[in-house]
Amino acid sequence: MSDSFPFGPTGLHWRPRALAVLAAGGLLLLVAIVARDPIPLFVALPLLLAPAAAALGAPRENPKVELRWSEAGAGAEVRVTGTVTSDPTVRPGDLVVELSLPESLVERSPPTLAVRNGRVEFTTAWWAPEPMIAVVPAPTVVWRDPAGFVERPVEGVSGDLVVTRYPPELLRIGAVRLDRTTVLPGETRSRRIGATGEFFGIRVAQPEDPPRRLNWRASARAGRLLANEYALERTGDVVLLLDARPSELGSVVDERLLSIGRAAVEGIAESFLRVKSRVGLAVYGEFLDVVPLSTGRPHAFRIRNALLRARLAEAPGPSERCAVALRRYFPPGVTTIVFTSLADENARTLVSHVRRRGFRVVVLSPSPLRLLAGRRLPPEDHELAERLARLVRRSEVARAWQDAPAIDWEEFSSLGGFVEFLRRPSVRRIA
Amino acid sequence: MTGPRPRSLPRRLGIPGLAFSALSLAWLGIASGLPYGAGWIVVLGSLAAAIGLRLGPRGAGREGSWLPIVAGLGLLSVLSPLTILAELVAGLGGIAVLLWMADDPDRLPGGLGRGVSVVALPALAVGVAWASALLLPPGATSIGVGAAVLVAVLGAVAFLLGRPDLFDRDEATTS
Repeated sequence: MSDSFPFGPTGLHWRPRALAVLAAGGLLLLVAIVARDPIPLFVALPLLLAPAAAALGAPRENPKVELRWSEAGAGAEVRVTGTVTSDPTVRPGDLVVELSLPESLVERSPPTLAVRNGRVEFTTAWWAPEPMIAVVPAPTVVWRDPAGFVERPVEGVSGDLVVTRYPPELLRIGAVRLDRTTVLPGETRSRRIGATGEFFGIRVAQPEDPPRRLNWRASARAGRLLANEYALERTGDVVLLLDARPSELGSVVDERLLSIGRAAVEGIAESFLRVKSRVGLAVYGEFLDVVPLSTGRPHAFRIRNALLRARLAEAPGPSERCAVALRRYFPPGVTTIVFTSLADENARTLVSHVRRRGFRVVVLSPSPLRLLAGRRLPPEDHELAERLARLVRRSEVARAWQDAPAIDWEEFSSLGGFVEFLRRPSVRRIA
Repeated sequence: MTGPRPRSLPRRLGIPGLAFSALSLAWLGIASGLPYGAGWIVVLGSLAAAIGLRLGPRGAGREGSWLPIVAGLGLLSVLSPLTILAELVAGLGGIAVLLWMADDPDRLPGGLGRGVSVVALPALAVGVAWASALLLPPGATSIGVGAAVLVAVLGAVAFLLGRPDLFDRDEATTS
């Protein structure tokens, strides 16, 4: 706990309240001696003895608890529910459970905690105002005496929870036909051969082949066991490039835009991976952080971990560096979705440089207008400022169109326009 | 960090502990015999400050909401004339403060019941001290002996605070 001062790193902790109570008791004792009056002694006596009594009642060793928790809720609602079950030596009511609120979530009301069936149950009422991917750290659980003088850490609380919220339209993005690109150096063709997909050929059966995979007719004709091979269904490749550089919008707005971008990348990657496309990720701050093109369930975790690591860079890297580095990892011609705010010249040149390196660029630009709308302005100026900001934004997006199709993503709860564009790219105007 | 949902007003106030504290303060306020209602001002001021801190935002203020009551008890106990009943009320006031601490609005309900285990030992000590005061002849010698005992207790507590491992022993492997 942050407000405790441990004498031992993992054992019993004395809380500041114990010291304060002892100080108050000691002061009363001094007053009694100076005033030669025993009455303050009687006030002091319980205060001086209570911390020691609390420590005597503490469990001898760190209690073991079991944490079970999960995330529920639909849409913007994020409800984290869980239970903390302690060993029988500890009363559940003596456990203190505190949850950390991730930055991208808003607390509607404090968590509900209750003791039922001998365990502590908790439920949060959080809300995701915009798409996000966030790590909810495991709750802090400690044993604390009823009067709050001593506390002891517990064992068995671990495992963070990842909460994602992204627009529902992404479920349909798998229907987008992506272009295939050349294989990467070192990639063998056999990697595209697997157990499902379109029929590819026949080979000698291996002992580990399941019966369903055996081609019984061909085996009967050949007189030995033969198995089918399939070409993995893969619609193409896509690279998701997340611009994590600071812009002129300021760190607060940049952080929120990055959070929204991470959520969109997570959702888009998951949707494409579901249809066995190869997905690559590049996060560009000062330097490029890359997850190479690949597919499959483990790859989804690789991308998620890279996104959770992604932070706003302290200094912006030059756009050309990103494009050059990108070319080292990904083949030219691959569809590249760039997530950038387009708020300054750096962002616009990034699109230009990436396109010149041979990538087929589509820009998905989370609009900062909604995030800036909360800033205080006099009512008479507010409307004018909003109109000017919209004009500037339209101009920025129009300039980006000179290099690549750019989708202005203003309504964060929906990615319908973007999905529609990817499905029918010949339609140039986005609603 | 986010704490539990705030409870209803009576439970946030910790009515039982607060009531015992208020009764002790009121008795000592009357017994002190301060002129112009000064005793009542101390009583009401202590209670108002404690309630204000308890109902305030979560943090150091709420954590230290017991301090005004202890300050009021200390002030009034010094000003009260020495009687056996005043000593008992002062001791009960100290125990009431502990009960009020146990009824923490930021924690799971039932703190008052659980707090009895912490209050039992100090209550026993107050009982023994009060019985001694009742039975032993009054005088400066008794006060000196009591003060010496308390200093010894304080020293022992300070020693224990510096050695938390004394409470931290594992179960014997042979048991």
